[in-house]
Amino acid sequence: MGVDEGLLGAYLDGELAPPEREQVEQWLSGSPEVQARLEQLRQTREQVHQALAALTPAAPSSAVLAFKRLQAQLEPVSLQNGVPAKNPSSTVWESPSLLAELKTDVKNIRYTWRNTVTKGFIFAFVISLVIVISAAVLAVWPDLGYRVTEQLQQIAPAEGVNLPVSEANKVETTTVVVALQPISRGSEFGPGSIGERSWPTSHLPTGFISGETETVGKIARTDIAAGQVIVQGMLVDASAPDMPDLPAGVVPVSAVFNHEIELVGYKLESKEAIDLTLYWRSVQEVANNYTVFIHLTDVNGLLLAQEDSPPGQGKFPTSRWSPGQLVEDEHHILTVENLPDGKYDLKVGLYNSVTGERLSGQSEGNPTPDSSLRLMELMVGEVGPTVPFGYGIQADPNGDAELNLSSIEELGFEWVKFQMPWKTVEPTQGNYDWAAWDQVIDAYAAKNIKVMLSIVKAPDWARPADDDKMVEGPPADPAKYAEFVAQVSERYRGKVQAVEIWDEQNLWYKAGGKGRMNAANYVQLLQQAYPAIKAVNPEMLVISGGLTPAGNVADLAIDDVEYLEQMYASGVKDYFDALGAHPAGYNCPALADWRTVTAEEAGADSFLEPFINRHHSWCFLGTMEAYREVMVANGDGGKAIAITEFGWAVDDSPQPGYMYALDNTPVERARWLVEAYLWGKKQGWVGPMILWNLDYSLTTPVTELGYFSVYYTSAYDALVKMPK
Amino acid sequence: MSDQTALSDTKLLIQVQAGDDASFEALFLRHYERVYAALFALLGNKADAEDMAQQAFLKLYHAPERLRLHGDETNIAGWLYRVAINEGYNVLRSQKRRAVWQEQFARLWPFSAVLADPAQLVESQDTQARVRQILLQMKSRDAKLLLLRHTGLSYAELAAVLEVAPGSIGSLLTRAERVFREKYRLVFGEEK
Repeated sequence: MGVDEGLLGAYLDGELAPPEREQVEQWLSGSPEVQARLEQLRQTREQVHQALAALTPAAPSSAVLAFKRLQAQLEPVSLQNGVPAKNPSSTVWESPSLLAELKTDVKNIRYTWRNTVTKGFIFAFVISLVIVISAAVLAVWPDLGYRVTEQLQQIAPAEGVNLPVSEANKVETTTVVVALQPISRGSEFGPGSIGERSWPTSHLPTGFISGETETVGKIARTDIAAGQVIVQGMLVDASAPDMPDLPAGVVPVSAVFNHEIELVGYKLESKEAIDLTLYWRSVQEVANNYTVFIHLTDVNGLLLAQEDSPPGQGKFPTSRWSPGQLVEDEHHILTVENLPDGKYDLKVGLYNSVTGERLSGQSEGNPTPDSSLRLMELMVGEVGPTVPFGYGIQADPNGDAELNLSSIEELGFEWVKFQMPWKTVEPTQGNYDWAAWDQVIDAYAAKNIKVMLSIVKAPDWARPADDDKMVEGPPADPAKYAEFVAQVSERYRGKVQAVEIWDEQNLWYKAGGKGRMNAANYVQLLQQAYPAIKAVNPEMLVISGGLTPAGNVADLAIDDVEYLEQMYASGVKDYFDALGAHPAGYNCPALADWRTVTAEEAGADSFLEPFINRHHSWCFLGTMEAYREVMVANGDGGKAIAITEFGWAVDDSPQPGYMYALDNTPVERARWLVEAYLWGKKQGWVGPMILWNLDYSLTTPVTELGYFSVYYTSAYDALVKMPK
Repeated sequence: MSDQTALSDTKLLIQVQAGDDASFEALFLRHYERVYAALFALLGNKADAEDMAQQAFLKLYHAPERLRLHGDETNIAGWLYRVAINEGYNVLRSQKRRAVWQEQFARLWPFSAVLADPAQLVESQDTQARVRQILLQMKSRDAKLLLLRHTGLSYAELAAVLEVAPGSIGSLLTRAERVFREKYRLVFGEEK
């Protein structure tokens, strides 16, 4: 019997027209089998319904409130108190309702003034916006009045100004029209009040009011955009842009000036020209507008250069900062071309430009010397050992050494990198098996190929009792690792030119288990290894372990840039010669900007994360530049970044997790690799660039390692032809 | 307002096109809660659901001419739900991609086959998220059908949203329910 389940379903839902319903009822009456099927359908429907009930909103959303929110988006923003925003050609003077408002407000203003003004001339900290216009002049220049009216309408609420005022009764005043916004400090002004105001003629705000005509002319000719106000005669943003937290790459500091303003961080943009960004936070409401000074001195304190300017070049006057607000403040000091190589001090402080007095500083509970904070020691010229640029590639130490050697020679590369697992060389404490390594390293040394060893994977005997032995991890005692790498450095002196101290230590399965990644612990590894290596082989370059490019993922990975900052905070600076990096490319083109790259540009349609969930770590350049920024900010810009792994995967049927390999074509990879090398070569701060990898497609076929191999690919040919 | 509430969607829309905001309000109040509920079911987040619902109505407000072409009444609601559910679906798919990628593969430079424990992913999620996960594993048309039906849309409305014949909703729905139940068993086990 042809029973249509769809009809049964619709029957259950009462969605059948009478003739069909009768048909179904006929089936049902004649057949227990159909009845059973209906019952089954009913049960399934019930189960699905119950499951989906989990998705029912716990908190209903009010349609009426939602409509109000929507309305706000539909209507043009209008100034309050009846200024007709929809019709910008109407003027204040033609609006009877506004004129009525004006009269009311005039009383308010005068009333307030009498209450606020206590003696002589004071500064009233009026958090308000004022557009000042001489009514008299408006009468003469109606056209000007019209323009000003338009500007009034553009101005958003919550704007402010500092203006000197006086007792209206005792001095000659100039009557002006003002638009006031909410006023703090006990005023009863409401938002958006508009009215006349009398100003003491002799104390009109400086800078923009020297006479009535001048006043009107100046304001009328200034383009005042929404969100701007006038402070001390300067058009400024109503508030400094909101910044919830210190951005990446900022070095945190803490110095409080005059109990009012704290310097919370700084960032040095480049070493060649001193571009310094300061991050301030006001501790309380600030009365005055202070000026920032930055001094560059030699080690004896002799002033060599200075820059004085209010925050944001006057755009973010300190009196407008709200307590707790973070303010970004950029300064350019000088170009350091003529400075001789050496060490310099960079100092920062604040002063009151009216009195010339410096604000006393407090840092860590102590007064700062000279009322300034010494930010950092600045190094000019080459400091410490350098690691120059070089072409390199990682090979499988178990691969065909002869083939690999001839390939590297054909490529014209100078570096080869191997991963050396400590646990295979010293499987039990004190028992070493060097034989295989001696052979490989001798072969490369004989051809004058520089060798970089990434020394990883502690043997179980050296690891903490409680870590996860299913994954790799560091030793319990960093000194044990230091002993081992020192032995390697001594044994292969002149044959191995660089060692990389661990690898991807910000990743759980290289850090001994979930949640065990810890920058401070890792820095101890370097602090022990570095002097131990240099003691036996001063020529050996020590490269910090390349971090895995990642975001913060629960207990699995720590954002590499944050981890690097933590490394500096833990005192890593003097314990490596070059910073290791693994700037992955995924399916992002070599020179693309991770902030803006599109899937189209990248030719991507299988893996879209880099274009949706933007993060520096998706793109080669993003990772490199982010690290560089952190190094420079930590005064470590003299050191190179050694790329100890980079590359693009290509595969037409990748396993899950490697879908980006599907997006990349062999031709794209060839082009991106060449672009990356050429880019690295010209930076001056990029050390050896080790391509991941040469031959894993031969030694471990059909694994994801092979997706990155360039042997027998067009990338190989392109790299051979690439000008070196 | 009382005259508006008595009018059909089509009449209201014609008046919206003529600049009558009260008619728009009536349309909004009539459909908002169900659009919101469908989006909440899909997204599991009040703020996102409200935002997306608002966006759907904004589209209705700004582009009503396009709707007039369709003519009959059910299509206006259908259009609205379709816009909302498709947008919501896009958001959810990108969220899902992100979640899976981040948690399962931890966005790692892939030099090891050792991945995050997938069991952890399942454990850490609540029932809501798992039901949503099941929906996302289904054909999008089936998932939308279940969601909107659960939200209370009639067969006629469902047909308009999915742009299928009203007579086929019965079969589509029973099939979708069966697929859902199978997948649900796989995730939650037989006892449920």
